[in-house]
Amino acid sequence: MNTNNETRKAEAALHDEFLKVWGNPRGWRALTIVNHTTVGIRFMITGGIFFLIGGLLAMLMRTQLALPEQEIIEPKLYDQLFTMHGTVMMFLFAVPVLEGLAMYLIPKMIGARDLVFPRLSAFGYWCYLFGSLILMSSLVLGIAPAAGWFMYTPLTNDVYSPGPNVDFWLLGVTFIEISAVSAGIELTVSILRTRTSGMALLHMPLFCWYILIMALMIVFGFPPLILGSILLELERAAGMPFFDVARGGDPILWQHLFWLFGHPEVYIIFLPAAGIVSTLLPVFSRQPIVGYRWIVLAIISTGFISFGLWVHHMFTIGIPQLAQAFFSMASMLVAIPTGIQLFAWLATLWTGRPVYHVPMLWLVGFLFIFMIGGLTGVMLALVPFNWQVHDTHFVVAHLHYVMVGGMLFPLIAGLYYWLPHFSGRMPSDKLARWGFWMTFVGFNTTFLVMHLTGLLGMPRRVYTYPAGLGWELPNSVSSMGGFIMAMGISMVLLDIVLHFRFGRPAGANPWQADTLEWATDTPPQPYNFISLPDCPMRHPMWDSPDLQATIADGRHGLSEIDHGRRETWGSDPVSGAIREIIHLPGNSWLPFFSALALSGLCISLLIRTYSMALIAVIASLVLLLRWSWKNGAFLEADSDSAAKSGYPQLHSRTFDGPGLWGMVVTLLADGALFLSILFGWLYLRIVAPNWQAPETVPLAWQPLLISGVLLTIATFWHHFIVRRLREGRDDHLQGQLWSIAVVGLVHCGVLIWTWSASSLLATQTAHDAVISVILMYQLFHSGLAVIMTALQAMRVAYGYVDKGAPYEIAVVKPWWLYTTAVYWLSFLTVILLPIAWRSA
Amino acid sequence: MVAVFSLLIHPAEAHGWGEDATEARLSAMLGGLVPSALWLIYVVGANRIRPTNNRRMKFHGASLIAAMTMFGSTGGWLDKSSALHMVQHMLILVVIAPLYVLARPLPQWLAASGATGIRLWRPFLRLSRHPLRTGILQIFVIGFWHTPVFYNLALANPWWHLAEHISFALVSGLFWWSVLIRRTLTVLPALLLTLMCTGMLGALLAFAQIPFYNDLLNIQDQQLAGLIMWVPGGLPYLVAGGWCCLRLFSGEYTQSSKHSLGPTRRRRIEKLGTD
Repeated sequence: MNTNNETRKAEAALHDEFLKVWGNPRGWRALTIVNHTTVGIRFMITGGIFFLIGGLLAMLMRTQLALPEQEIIEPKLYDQLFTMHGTVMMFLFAVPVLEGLAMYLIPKMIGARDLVFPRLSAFGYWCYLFGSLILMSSLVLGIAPAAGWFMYTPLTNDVYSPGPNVDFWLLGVTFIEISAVSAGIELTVSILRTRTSGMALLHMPLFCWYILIMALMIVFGFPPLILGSILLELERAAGMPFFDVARGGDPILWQHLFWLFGHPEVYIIFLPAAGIVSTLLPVFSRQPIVGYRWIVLAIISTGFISFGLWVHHMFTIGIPQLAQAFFSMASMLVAIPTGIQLFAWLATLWTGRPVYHVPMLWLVGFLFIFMIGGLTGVMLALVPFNWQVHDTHFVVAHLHYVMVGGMLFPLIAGLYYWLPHFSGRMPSDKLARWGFWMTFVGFNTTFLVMHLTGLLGMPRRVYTYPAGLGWELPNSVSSMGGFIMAMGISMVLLDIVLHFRFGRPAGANPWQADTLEWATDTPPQPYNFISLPDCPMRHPMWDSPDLQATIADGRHGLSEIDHGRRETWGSDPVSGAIREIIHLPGNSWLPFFSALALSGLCISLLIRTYSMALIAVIASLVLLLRWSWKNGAFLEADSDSAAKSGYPQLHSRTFDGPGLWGMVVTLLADGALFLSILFGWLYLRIVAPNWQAPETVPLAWQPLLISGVLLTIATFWHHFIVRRLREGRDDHLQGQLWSIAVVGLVHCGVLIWTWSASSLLATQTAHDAVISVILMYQLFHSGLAVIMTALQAMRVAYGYVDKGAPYEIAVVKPWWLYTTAVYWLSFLTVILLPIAWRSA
Repeated sequence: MVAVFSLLIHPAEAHGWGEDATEARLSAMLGGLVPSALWLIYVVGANRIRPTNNRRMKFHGASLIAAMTMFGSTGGWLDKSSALHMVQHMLILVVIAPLYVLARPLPQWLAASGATGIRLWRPFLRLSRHPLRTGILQIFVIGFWHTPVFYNLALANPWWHLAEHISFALVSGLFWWSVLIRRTLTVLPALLLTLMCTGMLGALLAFAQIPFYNDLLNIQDQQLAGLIMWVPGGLPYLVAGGWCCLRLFSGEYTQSSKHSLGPTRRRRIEKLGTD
């Protein structure tokens, strides 16, 4: 008894010590919080609010369509409603909520204390919040985008959509996407590099696999749309033609860029939801999932396949019939990985002893609805049928079956499942069941009937319809169903709100789950775990049920806190063996203000006051660079470098820390963007009906060659420095870094001079416009390389960076390499390729 | 290794636009002689180091496909259409090369070729450690030969055509070697990058409004060529991605594959079920 008391006292003391380092501030300073639990919850709540707003828009539309020839909502407003409904649900709800859930859960599932770039997660949240607010403000002002959620050109160019409506979409969504990509980068690196000791890739909970692939898909899939949005905004604001046929552009290019993003996006939303299913089903079936490896395989192949099928969204735009036939067949491929997962789930249910708690209801609902969505998907993949129902309500019904079935139902299942984790309390069974059944019945009433409405020929996106076409009954049924569903959702909401007050305490691991997130306190502490356990198994909580107690007792690794650092393990990406201690940065105002400055930029671009935009750019740059300066907390790291005997080094002592991984994954996203530019360049050149290329390339190649050689010299020099650092030599480090920066600066100067001396007319032809974009892209990268290197030189002067702490210079290295690769690739395709073309 | 492989398939080239028929025949003969020799070397080597039946089958299978491509070409049907020409390229890039790699003929060849052979392979083996690098190299070579000027050059001149096929076989062999034999995680991004880039190239060909190549039947022929590259040509990369995952998992991770139900857990779970 006595010893028990003592351990409890020691535990409490340890907890207090940890809270001093990890604790969250209150009041205004809550804006500085970077902790993944808080940020994840913020993401989810914000996303939830946007879900309600999006739902409200849908209710308005259903009211308008309930009866024929109604005039409750005028056509202009109706256009804004359906555009914003789609945009809000896709960009402001689905992706951020799932990201928030992932941010909340991933570190806890892999036994880490936080995500690997905590300030980036906070920054991502503020970008998302401000971007969403900007976008939503357009609805309040009555100037919301009204061209459909995929913003097809030419409807969205400045001739057919004058006014700021479309700009709100382009700028706001791009801003939100930056947040999504940063979350993607962060989740990728966290999953690969911060798993607890011994957790090999194949020990990870399946949810982590789903999130890893989702994160990578965001990294590769979002850049095409970011590029498309930038190009369209440049066309609208600066008159540079990319989608204008008369000046050598092609509107279809927008569709390619959009669906290059849009098709993976479907799976970016579906995969985490499927991850929830694969996490919950085994727990409620009391049985490990059947076919773990096959599911992993299915997840990865889904990721691969989704990047090859974007054309099947474009069957009716006049692409060659041969292409339609090929993609019709290829679309069937998706059924294979989805089928693998479905059968694995069924087999798990079959071989287990399922218990039907509330989350299971939603899972069964998911299986039913998603199955129908999949079947209508197969129907739509058949070209003749696709042509027949194109742009009718059949498509609307299909996409709702896929999205609501494939995302919302699993999400609510997950919400109920992790609710005790968020709050420490259990939801009410009765209210939850009512909520489910009303949503389920309401949903099917709305959308099953809507298939019929579509088959009867009712087009989508019409604000009303005449009586006598046979559309009245299905429409009014759909509207009624919609309201039933809304009531179901509000019951779920009510249940969730009430449970915070009336729910019975959940206790530890209420569902008897197998994964590590249930080894934290409920609700969790900001540090997650006092000590980080070894986890060379898939079901830690099933294998050692006392894990929660031993963790809180400090009996596992990294339980020291007297150094005052936020620490977590850095481990091998494959085996999970410990490599180093990652020193995580703490709370900061910088993410908040950086995002604020960027939203200032966004707004000034919206109202087209470019002097203000310039100020905002400078402000953001200063803040972001300040952030990069303050993020390296290596002075503190220095004071206590020999953490504890037997422990590995701090990551600042290594060449392969998380920063390098973050840089490489960022460059993957960047590379996807550049690849999209090259695709656009070649596409316009080959396909655009009015492509106009001048006789000679309007850029002088000699200075370009010189500029490229200078860049290459700088890159090699930088490599040389890193190699010498690896050998433990850092003589003349500062001088060399300054020299590299100067060489890089001269390279930029020559490039700018060449550009200004050229005869490029960016507003006259698509040819010149694309070249200008490539030049801007290059200058952005070269300039940033110079700035980063100069900053490194200053950090060497301050003594933050040397052979003892070489980490940061190694992070900059890939950026130089990438910048050089981009330069020569651009040289190849812009200067050399046309010459080869002409001589053909 | 792969350079020599390519000679095996070289006669499959689709010349026919060459002015000089003797030259064409000469390059074809060269292309025919060396692979036969290679096949012979393999058979000799296989007597010294016996390959498994599986690998032996793969090698002969690959050689057979290569030979069929060759005879198909001498029949002249490959000269008449870009799409068929593309089929031939795809056979080299995604069927013959990976099959050869899977057959792992290196021990047999080295057994027959001795120290010189080892010295010859070494730089390639070193490069093959990096799937991303070999992938990028392959993309460059494929892109290079599909720009109209070089494609048509290869059509017009059998020696250039020989060079085209040698480089295809060389880089695709290297790529598949790095992907199928090496066990690194970068295999997956390398495959995805290749899939995306060949897909984009195929897409450009499929959507192009103007004819590029001198062996086109009509614009549909070019579209078909692009689609062959894009869709069926992309499939092997997909399959390889899945296969690499399975292999990655089965290698160092055999222990974690089966999770047995311990008695304590079973009891605990059973108790739960009755809750």
